Amino acid sequence: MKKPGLRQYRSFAALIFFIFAFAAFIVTDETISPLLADIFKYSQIIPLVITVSTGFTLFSLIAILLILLMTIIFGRVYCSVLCPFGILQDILGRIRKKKIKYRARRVKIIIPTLLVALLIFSVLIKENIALVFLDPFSNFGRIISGVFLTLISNSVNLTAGSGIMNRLIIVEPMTGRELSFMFIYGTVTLGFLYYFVGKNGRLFCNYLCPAGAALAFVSKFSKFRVSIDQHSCIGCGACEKFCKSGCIDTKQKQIDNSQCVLCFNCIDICPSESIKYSTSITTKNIPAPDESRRNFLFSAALFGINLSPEQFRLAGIDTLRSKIPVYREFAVCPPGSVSYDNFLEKCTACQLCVSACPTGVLDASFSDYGFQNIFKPRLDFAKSYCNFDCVLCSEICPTGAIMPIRDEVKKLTRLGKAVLIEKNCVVFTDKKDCGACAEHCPTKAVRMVDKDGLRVPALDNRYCIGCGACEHACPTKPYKSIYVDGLIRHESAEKLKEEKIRHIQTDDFPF
Amino acid sequence: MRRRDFIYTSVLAGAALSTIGLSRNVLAGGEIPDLVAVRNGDPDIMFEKAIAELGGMKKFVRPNQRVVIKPNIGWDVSPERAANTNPRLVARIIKHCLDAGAKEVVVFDNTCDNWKKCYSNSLIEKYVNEAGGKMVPGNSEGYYQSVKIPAGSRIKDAKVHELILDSDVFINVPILKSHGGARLTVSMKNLMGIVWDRGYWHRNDLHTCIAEFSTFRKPDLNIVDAWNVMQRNGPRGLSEADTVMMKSLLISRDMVTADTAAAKLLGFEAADVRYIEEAAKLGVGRKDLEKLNIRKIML
Repeated sequence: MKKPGLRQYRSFAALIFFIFAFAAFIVTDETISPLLADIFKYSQIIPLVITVSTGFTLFSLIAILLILLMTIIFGRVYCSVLCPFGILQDILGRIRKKKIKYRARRVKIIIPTLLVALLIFSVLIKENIALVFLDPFSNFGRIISGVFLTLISNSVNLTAGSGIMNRLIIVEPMTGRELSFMFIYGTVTLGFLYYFVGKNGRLFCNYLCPAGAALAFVSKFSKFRVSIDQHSCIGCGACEKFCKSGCIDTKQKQIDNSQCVLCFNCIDICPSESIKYSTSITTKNIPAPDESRRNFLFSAALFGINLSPEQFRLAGIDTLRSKIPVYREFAVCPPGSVSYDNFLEKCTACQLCVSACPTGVLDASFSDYGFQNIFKPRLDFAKSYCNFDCVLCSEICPTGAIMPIRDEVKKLTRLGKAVLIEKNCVVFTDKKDCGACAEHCPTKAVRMVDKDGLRVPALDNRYCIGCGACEHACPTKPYKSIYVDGLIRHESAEKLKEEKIRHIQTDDFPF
Repeated sequence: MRRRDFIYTSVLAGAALSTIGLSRNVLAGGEIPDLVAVRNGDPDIMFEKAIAELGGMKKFVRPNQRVVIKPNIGWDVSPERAANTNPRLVARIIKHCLDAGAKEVVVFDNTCDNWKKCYSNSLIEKYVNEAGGKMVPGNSEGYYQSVKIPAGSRIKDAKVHELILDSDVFINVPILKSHGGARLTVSMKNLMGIVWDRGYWHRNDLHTCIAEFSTFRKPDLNIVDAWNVMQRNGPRGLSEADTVMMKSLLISRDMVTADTAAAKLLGFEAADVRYIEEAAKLGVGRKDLEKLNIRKIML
């Protein structure tokens, strides 16, 4: 057996990193999720650029500098072991059994220049729609969260069926993820990726990725690089066929190191052992580029169909149906996101918070924040509500779109305001007690009061934090009788303080 | 032959005598009490006294049976808030079931807040595991089977957790609390945690649904935790300021009896709570406490 070389070591390291990245988008756990998230908060270029440019943090700056330093010494190691989207492409290439033959593609300098310009421009004008679609980490997240988490949670929950006690292990059902438009979007993205990886290798990394583009400029000057020994090379062309970056030109026996993502396939395949990864520097000029083929079809994958509007879910044999439609003016953005301005500027829609949210209330939006903010998560009270004692999303957001918020502060942070529609409510229409909203309200902004022998809901928005528990619990169909309208800037809520209740102790039982 | 006969009869007689001895309640004049009420003890101690009055757990659990315990684990709050059944009480009940020879004791609730957080923050999961019971999830529709409610008019069918349908013994362990909509929650209201679609109940006359569903499966025992009682802002509560130390516990085989007595502890009459009235009319149980055999114990 062949001794493992650079290629094998790199594959191993990449696989380990990939497993962590995959887990980060699958696991929901108060301890593990923030730990996993921290790995990516400080290792992914686009989130780091956003953090540094918007809410400067020292650690993020150090992390960026370390990545640049690493690149200037070793080349694009980032693309080879630290980018989960890059590794995903390699895995897809492996899965494709067909013998892949790549060809050299000379990337014109204008492409990385434009991509880096786009990155800087996006950061400057605080409009990140381009980054949402081009950031590799967010693309990765949308695929894992949208496709794999949906598949895994639904499969797990399928096993949660009858005969519970006859099983050896009781599988814990996971928070439900529906087959939403994110599933379709993720599947389509994955399909495109699979197709282009098979045909053109790491096309994304050199033609669409702003992080890759920035690193391409740096790695031009990298100390360690892959190079061909002009004398021992027999010119067989094997390396070019296996180069997923298309950066080897076997005619000229030249490697364009700015394009190289350090997969080391060439070193592994070279029959004359003429390719080395070392500090040797090639001095020859890089020849003129070929006609570059640009495949921007990728962007076609960016369209999806919304398959989860609320009304699809409603069914029943109820005697009464509510009549007033709910018109929500603003979607509710997560606690810690402070305002639409802060949230929409920084969020790249990676779906990490969506994956981690224990109740599943966070979900990708379609047009709630406008189409230009598609995929950015909002609270979907049809699915669940924001758990009073939970700040998990704020602990894991890699870009600072959701900023860390302390538990006590979160409990008094108003994300939206409840609105009561009495004309829909069964207490008023059916003259029957219910109380589901007040039951769930953690702050007693809505409570039941006596009126005409009934218990009717009374709303005091001073205490409302907009968690949506009332809306989620409200049983009326098809329209809710209480809902939360979002605030574009979060507010502070008041805390309801009540005296300790007194009880007259008697010595006997009252019966 | 004679000798063997003699031994045979002696053994039989001995067995018969000891059986009578066990049911000393019967011999002592009173039949098994309809309601046992205990005060001034810790929840687990009060349970010990109360179950002894009923002749011990062996009266309800036979060897090799599966017991399902349904506490209230609805909310993601700590035990001091008294929104969930006292974990020590649940653990002690499990111990008695296992001592009586139960094959297994399972515990679940269809929680309101996120189920894992409820199970863990109520401390019920911890205490159940320590006592040798088993926590089972209740948060997936797959566990719930459709059943008919013959006496139902507003609620004709419901999806019920299969553990309730498959277990030999069903022990209902509610905590007494105020309730915004239903006024108070005790035994019958606690059964909302064994069904899947509670929303249907809420929008189709909550009181009637609670009363009618109570005709479906009567628990073998109802053990009402009234040690620390949430007297306002229920069922979730706002803070510990909502709670009152009542140090009480009720046990009854009759949900209507238990709920009527519990209502009185909170200052309500059965007539104030429509579901108790309706359940009594449907024959679920008796609310005429003055005519019942009540054993009161002050510790």
